[in-house]
Amino acid sequence: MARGIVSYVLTKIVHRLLTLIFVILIIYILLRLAPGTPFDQYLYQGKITQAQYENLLKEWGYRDSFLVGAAKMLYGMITFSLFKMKSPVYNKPIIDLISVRLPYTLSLVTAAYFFGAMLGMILGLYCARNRGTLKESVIIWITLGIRSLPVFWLGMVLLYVFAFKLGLFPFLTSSELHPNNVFHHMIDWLWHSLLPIIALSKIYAVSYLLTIRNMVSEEYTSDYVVSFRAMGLREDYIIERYVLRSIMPPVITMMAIDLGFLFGGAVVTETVFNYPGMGTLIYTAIWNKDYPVVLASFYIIAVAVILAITIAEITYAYLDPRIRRG
Amino acid sequence: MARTLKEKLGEKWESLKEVSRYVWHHKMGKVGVIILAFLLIMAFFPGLFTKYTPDWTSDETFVPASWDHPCGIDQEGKDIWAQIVYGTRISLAVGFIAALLTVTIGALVGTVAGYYGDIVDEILVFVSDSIMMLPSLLLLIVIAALFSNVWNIWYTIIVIALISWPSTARMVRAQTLQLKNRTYVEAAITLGASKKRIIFRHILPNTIPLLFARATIQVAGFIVTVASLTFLGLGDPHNPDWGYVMYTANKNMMMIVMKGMWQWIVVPGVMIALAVIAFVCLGEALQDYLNPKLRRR
Repeated sequence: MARGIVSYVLTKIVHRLLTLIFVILIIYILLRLAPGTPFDQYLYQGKITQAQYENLLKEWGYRDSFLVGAAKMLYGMITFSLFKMKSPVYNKPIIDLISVRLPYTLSLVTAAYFFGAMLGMILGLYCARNRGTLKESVIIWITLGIRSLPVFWLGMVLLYVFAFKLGLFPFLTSSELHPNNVFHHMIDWLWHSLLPIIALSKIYAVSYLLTIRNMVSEEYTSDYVVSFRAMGLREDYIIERYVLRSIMPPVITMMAIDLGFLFGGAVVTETVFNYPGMGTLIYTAIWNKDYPVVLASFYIIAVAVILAITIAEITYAYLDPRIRRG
Repeated sequence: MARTLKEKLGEKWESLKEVSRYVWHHKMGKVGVIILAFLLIMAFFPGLFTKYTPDWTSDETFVPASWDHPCGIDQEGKDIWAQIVYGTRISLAVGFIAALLTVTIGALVGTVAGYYGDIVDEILVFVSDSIMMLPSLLLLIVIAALFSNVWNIWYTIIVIALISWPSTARMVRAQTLQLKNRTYVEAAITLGASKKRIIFRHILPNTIPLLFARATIQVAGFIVTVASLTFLGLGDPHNPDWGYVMYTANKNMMMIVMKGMWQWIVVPGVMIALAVIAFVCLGEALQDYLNPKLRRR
């Protein structure tokens, strides 16, 4: 048994490492195929000569052959020296840029995630318990309506109403830091992040509500619950002891996978709110052809996704022994 | 036993009638059909909904909504409602075509992986798993921005299809593995049917109903994806869709607030929401139709 899970985990890890290399290679190839460099505009504006331009390109590695560039990149990733490289646009080490932005995105997405997921789970459970009633169908139709609203649109409406019309929140979210006063800093962060958190949490609230409701309803009609009920067990007891426990593995997997993908969803939200996170960093880096920053950011995101999915798979296998054998 | 073409077509027609009857009597299905019909009329006959065209320009800019211009006039003097009405066709078409392409690629990869097995299967599963690990919207943004000077709506469609097929492939592969061991497929193999024939005649047709339901729901997601792209300014300005109207709205937020032109923000979002509701409802109805276990409830 123990050996089964060890070899399962090892195969998974090898698989994921290969995936990581594959993913990063795709990004690298795309960047190589794309036209333009960050120095083009200097050349057009006549700030530098053609010779200086060529020198800059050589210096920053834009003239490396495909294989040399790929080798450099892989080496940088394995040794993490990629993050110490400088961005040609900001002329700063990438780690400096990312370390300022990453906390913003992480705090935004985790807050949105937990807020959304909790709300979704509670409502989902409520719906499952009230299956077939008017209350349930009202909640479900409202959910379907909200589900179909794009996040960026929700963001715009929130901005229009609460930031511009009512003036309750700032419309530029570049929050000022108060490193000396943690409490002050938290309040300030919340004030600047509340609207983006609400907009972003909508995705998770809706998907958790529908999934939990469907899973719990399915359990509800299963034979064992029906017989427990016939035996006179209390409803709360059945839910707590059996129903919730049996839907745990898929829910944990879903949570882990979602956590990995949080970054992707943040880009659009950050753009709407002008939020100083990774999303806007990547977005401007792409426009500036700041390839080292794009690569490093994608590297972090890919590692996060793959780590989350691998942990989810292993947890799932641990909770559900059938997977281990299959 | 050979059936004539007429009989076959008749059979298809009968099952199509059955499906549509089911969808129409399905609570969500009916909502979906009504909204979709409305959107399709708007897409094919935009002239019925507005007397202006997206090219029409006025001398004035930033004019708040009036009876004549239900959503007002934008920064270039163009009628916003006309842009939304004419954008319907583009938004719907992009969603449809992208979903069709995605499902086609997914179905082919899925059946080939499931049917051939071994090394072919392993490679295809690895590739599709890897693509699933990419945050697709982020990747789409990167590609669109990198190639922005040559970008047009067709690239958007193709790239969406290229990064969205894996989940369909995974589903079709699972079904192929099941179908592969059915007696009639084994019989076909014993009779010496080629692999290509088995895949196209015996396995693929059995996955089509499920693919249909899936594609319907995917259209909804793709409409939002494309709108997100155009909202970020990565669209095709020659083919403006609903996302493009919101892009210009977001850029002119200050003027919108000053002039109270909230319709500029709200209406394109409502259109997207309507389209998403239509396709999600239709997809749910189709899925219920295909899943008799749920149907009985």
